Amino acid sequence: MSLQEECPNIYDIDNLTVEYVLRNSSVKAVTDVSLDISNGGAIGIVGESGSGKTTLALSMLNLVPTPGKVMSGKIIFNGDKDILSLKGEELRQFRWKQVAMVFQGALNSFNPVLRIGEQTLETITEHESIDKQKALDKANVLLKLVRLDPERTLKAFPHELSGGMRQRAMIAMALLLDPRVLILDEPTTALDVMSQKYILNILSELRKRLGVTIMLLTHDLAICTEVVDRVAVMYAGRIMEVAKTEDIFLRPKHPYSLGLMQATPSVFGDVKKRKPIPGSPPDMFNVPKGCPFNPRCQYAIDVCRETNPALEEISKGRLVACYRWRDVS
Amino acid sequence: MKAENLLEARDLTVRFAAGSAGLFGKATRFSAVDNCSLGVKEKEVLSLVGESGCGKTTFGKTAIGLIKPTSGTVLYERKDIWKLSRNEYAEFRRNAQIIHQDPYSSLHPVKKVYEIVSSGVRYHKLLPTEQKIREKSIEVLGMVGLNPPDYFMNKYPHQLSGGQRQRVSIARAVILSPRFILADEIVTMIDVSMKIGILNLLLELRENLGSSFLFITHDFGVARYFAEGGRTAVMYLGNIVEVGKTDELIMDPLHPYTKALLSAVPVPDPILAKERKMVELRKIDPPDPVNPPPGCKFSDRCPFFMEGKCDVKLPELVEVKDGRLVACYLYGS
Repeated sequence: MSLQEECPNIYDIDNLTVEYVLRNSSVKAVTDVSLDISNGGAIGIVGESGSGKTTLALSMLNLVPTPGKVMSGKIIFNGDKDILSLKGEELRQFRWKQVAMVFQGALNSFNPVLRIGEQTLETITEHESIDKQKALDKANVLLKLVRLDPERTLKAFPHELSGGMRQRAMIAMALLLDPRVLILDEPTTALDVMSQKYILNILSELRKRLGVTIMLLTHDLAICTEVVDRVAVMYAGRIMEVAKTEDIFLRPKHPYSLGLMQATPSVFGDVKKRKPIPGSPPDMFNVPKGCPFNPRCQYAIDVCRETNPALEEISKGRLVACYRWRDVS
Repeated sequence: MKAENLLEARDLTVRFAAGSAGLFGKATRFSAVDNCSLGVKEKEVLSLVGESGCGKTTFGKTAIGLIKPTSGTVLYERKDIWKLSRNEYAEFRRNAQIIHQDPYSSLHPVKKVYEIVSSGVRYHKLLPTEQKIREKSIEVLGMVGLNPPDYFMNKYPHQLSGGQRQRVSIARAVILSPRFILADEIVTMIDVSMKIGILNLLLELRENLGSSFLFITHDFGVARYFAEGGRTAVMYLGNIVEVGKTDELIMDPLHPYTKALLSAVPVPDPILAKERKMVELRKIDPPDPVNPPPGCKFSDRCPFFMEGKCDVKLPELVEVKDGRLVACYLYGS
């Protein structure tokens, strides 16, 4: 643990705001987000649909699609590389080689008419001058790591693999160039419970064996207990709370984190304590004034409806954006 | 001793063609539902849990007469639903309603909420005047928590959130006061913060309407929340492998598949999560449903596999203790 703390952060995100500018309006998908990710760590970004977690991840690759625009903020990679100013070949080399991303619905993003092997080799040879045999050897090792039979998988067309197998092949492909960071956007959402569990186990193992930093975007708090050691909770484009996984679950300090916890039905434990968060997620074209969560919050007071609380460090590595965090339990 | 089943599936098999082998080739056929029997009593909640592709939706749709079974029968009040008279069938249709998984595609996009919710009442000619239909619609929209009803009645589905749409879908079903409701993965596509709200609504309606439910879900947590006190059936590749009281089945699963499935469910509790061990399977990926292994369909993955037994003949679903049915040779099938 101490070793990890001595390492510099692999990502330092500072006051990032990303806006999608449309003809007559604009939507702030990410507002004032500051977050650091430690080298070799695993962080979960939890939020419901529209909370801005995908946009945050895309900006970390300088990959925000038009009409999206980074309005302000900085993203520093490995202490010195300013991601948002990378261009051309430099940017191309950064993506996939330094940071790889498995996109949401990635299990449908293989080319359907090429064998997995052909697509895999293409990825390597596009980025590195490496001979074919070496590339194949590498693919073999990685496919074994994700618990696939390399020989069969490389020869297979995507439709011949099940959803879980395709997702695991995708993860292997993302790791081909030894990236330092692997970002996964809802990697298990379309999958069965068992395939999900295997993927989560594999991610923990990859982290141990390859030392890769993992960032997991999900709407499902429960899967965070399996892989990540820190969780950032997002709502309406803002970070509401950042804490160690254990603290988020056992001692949530933001009313939204607490609400999410109470709204998640569980197979074990007390079934009666579950209750929904009142109201609906915000309309992003019309985000409430003050704290975006205030209309749904049972702790809200006048100041919450007027100004947005800043993300405040309440103990080491623990941040909360709430005026009333002391009262939340 | 045992109450009558309101709706009962007996030896239900539904086969589908799985693509054709060329122009003159014979299409391979596979059983999405393979010889399944289940009954739901008056006011009972039965959850059907299984992974995607296991045949649970096909089973549900066949049980309410939306798919004709290849073999086997569905009985409604002890009568075969495919042999009902015209009037009896209309009565059955009104009494067996469905709430679909996807609230984005199951509502007519160019009809207003009022038209959608009242369509069943109009079709079955249950109320004499437009005034009465309006009053009833307002009442039901209020019941499902779409307040004020007048405001929502004139909305189109695209103007509503996912949770609100699902409430419209629920209103459309309950306006007919059905005796049986098939709820097919109804909270799967709903945002986390609102899932429990929809489930609570349905629990409330269950209390007030006294309908029976077949509650289909892939999520044991959701099944437990909704069907506490009810029964749960677990399905794997077209077969029902275990049936029991929901709480008992979750606390003490018997079939190896149920055990494996429960051990893989993520729990929102970091301490519990560390303690739990996943049941290791012999093969981590499920077989192609068109070509399942011989004998028990779980035999190729099952950690308790017995050669010469499990790979020979499909074990039958038998009662192994009070109210618990298991299809596995470990329990003397």
